[in-house]
Amino acid sequence: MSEMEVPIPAVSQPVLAAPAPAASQPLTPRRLMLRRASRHVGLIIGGSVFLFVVIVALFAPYIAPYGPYDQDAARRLMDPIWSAGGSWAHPLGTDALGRDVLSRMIYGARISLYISVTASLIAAFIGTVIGMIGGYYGGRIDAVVLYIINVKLSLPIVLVALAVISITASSVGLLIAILGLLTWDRYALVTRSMTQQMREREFILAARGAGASDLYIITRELLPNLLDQIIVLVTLEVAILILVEAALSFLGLGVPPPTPTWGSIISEGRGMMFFKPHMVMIPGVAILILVIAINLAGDGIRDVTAPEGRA
Amino acid sequence: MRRFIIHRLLVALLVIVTVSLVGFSLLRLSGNLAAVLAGEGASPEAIAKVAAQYGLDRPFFIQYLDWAFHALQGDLGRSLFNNEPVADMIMSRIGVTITLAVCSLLFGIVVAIPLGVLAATQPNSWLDRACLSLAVFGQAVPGFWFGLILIYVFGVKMQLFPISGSETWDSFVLPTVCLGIGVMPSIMRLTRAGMLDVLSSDYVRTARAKGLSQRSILFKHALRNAILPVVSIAAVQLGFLLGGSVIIESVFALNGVGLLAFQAIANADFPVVQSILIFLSVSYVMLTVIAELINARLDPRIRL
Amino acid sequence: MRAAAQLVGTAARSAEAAPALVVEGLSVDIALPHGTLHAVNDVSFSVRAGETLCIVGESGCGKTITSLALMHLLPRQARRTARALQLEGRDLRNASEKEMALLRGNRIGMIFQDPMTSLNPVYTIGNQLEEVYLRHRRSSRAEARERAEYLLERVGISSPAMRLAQYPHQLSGGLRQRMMIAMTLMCGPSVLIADEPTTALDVTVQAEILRLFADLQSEFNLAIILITHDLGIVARIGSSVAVMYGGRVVEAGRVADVFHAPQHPYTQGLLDCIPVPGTARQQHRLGSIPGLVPSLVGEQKGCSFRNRCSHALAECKDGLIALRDVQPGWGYRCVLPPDPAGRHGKAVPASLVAV
Repeated sequence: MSEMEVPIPAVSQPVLAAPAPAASQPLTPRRLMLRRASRHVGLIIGGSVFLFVVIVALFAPYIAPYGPYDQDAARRLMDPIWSAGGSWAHPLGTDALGRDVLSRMIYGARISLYISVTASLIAAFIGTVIGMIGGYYGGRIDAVVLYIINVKLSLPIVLVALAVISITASSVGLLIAILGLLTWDRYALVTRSMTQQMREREFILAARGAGASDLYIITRELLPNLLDQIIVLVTLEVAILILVEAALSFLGLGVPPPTPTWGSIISEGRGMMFFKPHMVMIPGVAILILVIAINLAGDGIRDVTAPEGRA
Repeated sequence: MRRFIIHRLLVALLVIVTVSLVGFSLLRLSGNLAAVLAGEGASPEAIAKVAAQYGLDRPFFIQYLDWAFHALQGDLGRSLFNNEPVADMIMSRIGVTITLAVCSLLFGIVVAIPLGVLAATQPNSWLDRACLSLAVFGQAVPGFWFGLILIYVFGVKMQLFPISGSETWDSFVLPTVCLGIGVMPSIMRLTRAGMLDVLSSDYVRTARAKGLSQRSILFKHALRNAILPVVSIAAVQLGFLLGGSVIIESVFALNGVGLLAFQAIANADFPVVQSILIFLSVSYVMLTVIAELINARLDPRIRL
Repeated sequence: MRAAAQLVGTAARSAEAAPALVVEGLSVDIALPHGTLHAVNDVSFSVRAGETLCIVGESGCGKTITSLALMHLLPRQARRTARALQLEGRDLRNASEKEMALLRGNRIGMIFQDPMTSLNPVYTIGNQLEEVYLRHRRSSRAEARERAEYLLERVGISSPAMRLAQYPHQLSGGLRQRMMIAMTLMCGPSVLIADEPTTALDVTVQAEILRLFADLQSEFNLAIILITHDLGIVARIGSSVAVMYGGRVVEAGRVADVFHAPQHPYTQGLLDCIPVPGTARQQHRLGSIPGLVPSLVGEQKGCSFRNRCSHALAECKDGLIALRDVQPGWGYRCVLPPDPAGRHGKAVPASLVAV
């Protein structure tokens, strides 16, 4: 088991190592950050893919070769371009109603991203407010905040979402609201913990000493310091919400039909999976790639904004 | 220590009560549950009749207390679909769900911990990157889709495992892998991070200076300390697995509580949905308490 | 050449048993992104049973890396070379990791600075003591426990049987360090390295621990290497001393000789820094050595101390400053000729001579 040899920790840089190379411009923290970002492979790859999908989604009506609901009975269940019977007219094939898969994928990206990003922002808002209040005031208020967070954590997201959607009419707006209301716990925990740590720092004590109000301190002093972390969380939560929305749509209780989303395309293709796998494979691989890209980007942002925090 | 336990249990109790209230009220969100039950286009008299039949015309808190009173005695009402006692329905299916959850967690742990330790011994090597790639995959792959792939490849093409049902033990294999691959990443990352941290600690340096064997240093000294946060996360993950059973049980047609919930939702069988929701939430709370207790037990510094 | 390289070995003792540890020309280079760090450069010394060699120097001078190099506990990017490296006559230079592991804790033991963090918090004292013994000796648990109890008693810990079942956090700092000492003695090594063993402890406890070292040395016939920045400790328990600066040994010899008439300006500077009660009048300001430690990255030419030395000359800039002997067993690395009265250079303190 030579590879199991216990490694000795790397030596830390001695304080007076080589002098820093002469910089042509002053090395501000922001410039350092941008430089780190330009070298971070994960961030570049993930960010590019994510950006690509976002652009495709934004310009869907101009990019998609067909409408998402255009049926063509003559061309049903065509194989994608890499199979025997494929053609460039429908590079990703068609579904049981002759609808172009590529176009549906493009519009699906649009709706999935819209839902995930919006819900993530809502959750970020709710979670940050709750977390900062608990972290800042401490004591009884914090106990209440923790209790609320615990209640929320105990609720199984998918089940609750399914139950609520089944009782009330399903709609995109409802979906966003539910997802937003069900996923704010991570924001709350992180902002709470960070606020607790920063509360005792000198610049906060100075602000208090100068007579600043609590609201001022929270919004103008503490919050800007949390923004980096919140952005990282939003990014990572978007990835999670894409997965949740896909699962809900797959089960038929997500985005109401006939709007295409990657999850519902998989669901439609499920019955034919064994002899026309492209309808299941393509959206699944797309989700996989997109989520990986977003995770890479989120981790990259975290690395670049707080490199000391990484293992 | 005792005060610690009592305090935690009281908080947990409070959360449980709140959660049951939330679950109870969730299904009444639409405003008029009686109208939903009576069906579309039902007349006001029909709706009123339904309301009286299920006690939905009483004040909210009376309804809740009545339900709670019965629930504590084990009576969770009857299914609207087949009139069976809900408690029986849940009990007959809970075994499948728990089995699946526990097996998936074990699978995830058995894969994650050795890989996490391995990755930590060679940071930034190809081995490390391979392990992290596996974690990335596990976190990004949609569970339901991966389940379909597994069914297709192993169930249909290779005919190795049954593709539905929960009769035999091997019908749990594919779902276990499917769920396990989702739990594995967080455990692996945590193990890796914990090991990296611990391997650079002073007491591991002492262990090396004592000339202890590699195995002893890695597992007896390093892992034992690095594993603490993993234990509590494992218990919490178990809670998530129970809650997320809906999707996988649907894909694999496993006759568990998740599939029951899904069917009940489709049938608007609200006593069943409500009971399962509350049951799963309560399980989660109990698991977090257990996680905290285990954590306290394992770390002698907290114990005393 | 070899006689000159052997800087230490009390002249009084004739050639009896061979030294427990022989180090000759030890160098450690660490590969960094922007160059090679020469952490340790051509260090030589030896220690016999019953002797205490103190390695002295300020932070960053390479004393800790030297001790880690002896045990081969260096980071992955480090490369160690030596003309000779012998433990009990055994050549360690090309020993494999497996072979080294069998020697560590067994023939050579090491105590670290902070007893609080150097012990595993989740295992009992007894467990951590016994595991060394069980690892290196084919013995039973009971035997190991007996030895552990005996050693705990020997290092001055009361009720040793009860202590065996306790956890590290239940002991005070002084007791923990005693326990660490007991732990290194479990297998009866011939060499003990102690890296700043008393720095993290109260002054009163320090004295006790040092006394303990002295007692244990005679009883267990140990060769002790004590790393410290505190000259008081050296004076108290050292038989010989090696002063390190910039990764090199700049002076080494018997403590009495070196402290009485230091030959290297740095040694003199260190001694001058010790405040003497009662002499703080107008003329006597608190001593200090102005300037900063130079970078050890890249080629090291000339004397590394020259930028802070009030005696610096033009020759100090180039080449390798060789060791000169004052007498056998006492050497220093400087171009200045030996001066029986020691090196007095305080007259011109703060001028950084530009050479």
